[in-house]
Amino acid sequence: MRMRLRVKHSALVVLLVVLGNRASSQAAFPVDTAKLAERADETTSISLDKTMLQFAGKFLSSSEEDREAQRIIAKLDGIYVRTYGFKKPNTYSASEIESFRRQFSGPEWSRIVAVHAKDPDEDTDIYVHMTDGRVAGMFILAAEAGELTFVHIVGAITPEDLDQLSGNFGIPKKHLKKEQPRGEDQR
Amino acid sequence: MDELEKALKSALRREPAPEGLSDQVLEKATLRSGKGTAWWRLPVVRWSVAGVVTVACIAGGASEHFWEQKRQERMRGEQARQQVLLALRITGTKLSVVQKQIDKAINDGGGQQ
Repeated sequence: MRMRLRVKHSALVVLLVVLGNRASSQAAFPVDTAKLAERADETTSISLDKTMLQFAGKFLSSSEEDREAQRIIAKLDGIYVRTYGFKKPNTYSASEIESFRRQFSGPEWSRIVAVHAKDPDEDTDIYVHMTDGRVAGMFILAAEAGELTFVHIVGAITPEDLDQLSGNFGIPKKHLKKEQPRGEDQR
Repeated sequence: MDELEKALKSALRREPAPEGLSDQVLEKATLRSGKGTAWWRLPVVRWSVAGVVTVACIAGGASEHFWEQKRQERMRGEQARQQVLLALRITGTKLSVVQKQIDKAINDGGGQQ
């Protein structure tokens, strides 16, 4: 009897741990992209929580790019990126993208940018996660014909901070710098 | 002839060993055997060498484990660094595309959203 209780207790603990891990991973990435991953020809998945960012920070060098990365990640609690590449265009449907967008319809998320371009065909949405009137995160959803990109940044970061990415990480500086004063909500 | 025999008998007659001779012989034998043993065969030296070798082996193993851990940590750190840079690169690229589109929309007089 006691043995049976112990087994039940252990099973419950294991279940709670599994559910806890699942919940925390879902919290880290607010959309479920598992079905897309199955269909994708190329997948890039990066999950860096605060601990990993701090760990990575120790290995950043004194180069300009690394120093900029250090400055940005110091504010963050996590960066989660998922990129899915498709050889065949339109492998995903517009309704799938819409279902992703619906997941940000809650009051805690605000869409600050929604851009649709026809040439090249690309939709980009930027959402900001607000907690107690403060920015607590950002989500970028970029849909191209052959590629879907999701970026979830957790932490008190602003679009202005992200402008600092210009000139680093292979992004031309003059372009973003020139546009910086006009980088406002285009909704 | 008798004289010779007498001299021989006298010379060869059995005499009891002086008192303490056996002890003296044993002592000298022990001393000689001590002088003949090489220093590295002494038990103290043997045990000391064994101890030093054991400690050296343990220290060597621990040191190798330490450096291996350091090497693996460096590798993990470098991987994490590359991931951070890639994540920021992807983010920056997407923001750059948005910025371009916004710029284009503004220049076109708000033609596109």
